[in-house]
Amino acid sequence: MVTAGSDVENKRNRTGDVERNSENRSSVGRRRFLQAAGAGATVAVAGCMGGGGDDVVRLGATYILSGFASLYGEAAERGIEMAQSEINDNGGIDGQDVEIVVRDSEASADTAIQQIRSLVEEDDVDGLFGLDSSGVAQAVAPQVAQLQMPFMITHAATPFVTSPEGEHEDSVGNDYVFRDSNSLAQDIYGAARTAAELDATEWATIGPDYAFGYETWDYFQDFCAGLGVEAEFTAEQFPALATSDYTPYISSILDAEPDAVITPLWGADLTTFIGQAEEAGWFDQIDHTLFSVGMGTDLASDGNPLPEGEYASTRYDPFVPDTEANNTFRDAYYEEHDTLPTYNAEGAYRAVYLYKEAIESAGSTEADALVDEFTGMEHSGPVGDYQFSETNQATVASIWGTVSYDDEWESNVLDPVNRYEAGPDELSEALGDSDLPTGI
Amino acid sequence: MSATTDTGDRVREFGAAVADGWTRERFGLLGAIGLILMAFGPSFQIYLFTDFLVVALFALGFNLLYGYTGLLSFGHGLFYAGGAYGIAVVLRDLTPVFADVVGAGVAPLVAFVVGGVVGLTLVVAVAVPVGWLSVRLEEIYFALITLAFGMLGYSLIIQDPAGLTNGTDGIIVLLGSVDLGGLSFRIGARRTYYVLTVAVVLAATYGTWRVVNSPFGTVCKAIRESPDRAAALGIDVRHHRWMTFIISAAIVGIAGVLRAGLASVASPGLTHWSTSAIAVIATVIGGATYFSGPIVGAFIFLYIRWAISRFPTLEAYWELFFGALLIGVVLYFKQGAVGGLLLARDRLLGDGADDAGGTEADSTDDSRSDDARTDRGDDS
Repeated sequence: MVTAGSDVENKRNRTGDVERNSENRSSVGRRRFLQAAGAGATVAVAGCMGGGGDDVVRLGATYILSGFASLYGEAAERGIEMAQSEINDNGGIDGQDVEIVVRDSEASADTAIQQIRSLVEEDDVDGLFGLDSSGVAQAVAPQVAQLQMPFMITHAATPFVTSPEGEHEDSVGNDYVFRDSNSLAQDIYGAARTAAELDATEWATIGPDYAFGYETWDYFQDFCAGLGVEAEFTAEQFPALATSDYTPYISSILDAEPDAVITPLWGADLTTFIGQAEEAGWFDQIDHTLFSVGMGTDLASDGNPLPEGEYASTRYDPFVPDTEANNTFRDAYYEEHDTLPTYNAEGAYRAVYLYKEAIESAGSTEADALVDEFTGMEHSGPVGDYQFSETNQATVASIWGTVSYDDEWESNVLDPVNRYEAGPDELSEALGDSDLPTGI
Repeated sequence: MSATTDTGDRVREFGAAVADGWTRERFGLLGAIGLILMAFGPSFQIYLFTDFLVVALFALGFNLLYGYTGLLSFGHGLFYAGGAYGIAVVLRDLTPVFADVVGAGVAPLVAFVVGGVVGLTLVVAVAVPVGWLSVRLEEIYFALITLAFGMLGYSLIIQDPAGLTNGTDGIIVLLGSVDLGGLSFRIGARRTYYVLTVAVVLAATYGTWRVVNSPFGTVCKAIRESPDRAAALGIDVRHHRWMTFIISAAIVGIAGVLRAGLASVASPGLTHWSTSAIAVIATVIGGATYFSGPIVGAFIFLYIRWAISRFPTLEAYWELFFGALLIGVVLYFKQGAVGGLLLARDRLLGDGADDAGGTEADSTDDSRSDDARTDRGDDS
């Protein structure tokens, strides 16, 4: 494939100072050299192999650990560490310690797929969970089916990963992909229910320029139609992810003078947007702003909290339901990290427990046995009681509330908060004639 | 009959060459055996090696322009993405059409081949005007205009023109299963895709090697050494650079097609400058002045990165380690890893000229060294 002759020729021409020695073919020299190189390579490869087969249950997770949304991955890691130490301090999973390998998806499908392949084939994990971004989740779902390894999505919300392949042209759901947190369809169903209560007819959106932003807007319109909410949809803006200047988009929305806006912006983008919107007088001019997924960013970020009196959703509320499981989890988390747990921390925390329950019930870590266990499983955690639907989506409630500051916890909370049951029946009825899948 | 004798002679000749010390033939044979053995390795290692082959081809195409013609492009990610998106769009939108025409059994294979051709055609179609404009500039200005074209492609893909590119999410690439009578296989299966990649990369590498060692390649080197002198010899420098740009882009486009199938997704990140930089880094690590430089560089780049990823504490700072490595290479190994290895071999094992067992190739090398001295004389 490569010849020394052409190399050397090229090198000579380029630099004019090639060492003459390197051009001679010395049989002894090259052989010794190769032996040394070969031995070195063997040692290196041997040193890197290993892992797997030992007496632990090993799970693999991928979250966004770097970049504009790293706060999501950090929250998830906290939940994972809590679950891991709780489980290992209490006898582990079937007597074996649980070990969790967390990798950075870099919010990129390419990287996430590579990390997942590496987790399955190199680290020999018994199960997978994680994912923050819908776009990444959509690309990962078919890969998971090929690897034949259960994947518990704990955050990425696109309904298409829990909508069986073929139901809609974007559907990628399959037997191996599950989700323990609520989907965009469930979340936006709650948004439409919230909108029904508000005195607003003209609606607009500002969302990130990818599937998540567009799907939010599509579902919102169709749910409003299905629920008979009197609404007109007058303006839409979709700035790219990690935009630093939202002012043109903000002005454009303000010019349209809507009564209310729904925004699925998230991560550092949401923080930046809120700061610039406040300066532009957004919250004086627009009556209601609905922050879908807002609490996931609010609790974890340092600057620009959600303004009080606006509406936000969460996939898990630290105070409702008022159960022992939820109160214990919240208090332990608060004690450790001085902040209320986000839904991403809770989703990841619960995924580890889901694996514990499935492995103990199946008496094995075989992928297919775990898939069987998860299918239709009833489970209970801080978020409450729920069951996995026919399409592997957890039947968790849609939670929307009014943002208000709580002195006791020194943090924004949702108060009052509404929980809308969002099972398959509610969603398919509310979607009416829409061709969008319920994802449940 | 004479043909048979010819083949027999060739086989014997080849056998003799293999037996006769560490010749080119023996290396070729060992390399081929290595590639075949690799196919039976652990699944993830096959994946990693396939990844290496694709990145090696990417860097090799880039180096045709940089190491051989002296133009540093910072936008070759554009052609990498072009190949990937070409095949991704065809697979997504046209597989059902092919299924109607040729039947569902072979449709994935037809779609893959057509997608590859479309990807390559797209890349050439983009490279012709981009190259025509870029070669008007030299040195840092050339680097900047190619960087600008690369980022232009990035913005365009993110805008999702006509719903073709699916914005920042990228297009999912599913290669599908082929059913040919009794024969049934999945193109995307690890081993199948590895074999496919080896075949394509070897063919493309051989093609590049022929280009480099043709009169065309000699003109490239002449331009690299001195554009003015080349022009004085009657070479149309700009036109020649343009042609090299297109060939270089086409090779990178082939790598892009392979990349899409391997990664299972065509994402806009492929045309981001940070992807273009991978080709530059691999080439600098390996040595731009050697044909094998980019290949060795890609190997080092990917396998060091993989080794780092095995240690979670290091993984968080992998870019830091690469920065340090790069500083070391640039400061102390101006010839890159290939130059360093050759130098190390000579230093450690003594002067090869003293060893017995010189082959025929040695004498040709020696005569070439004489030329080298003449070259040096000319340059000084």
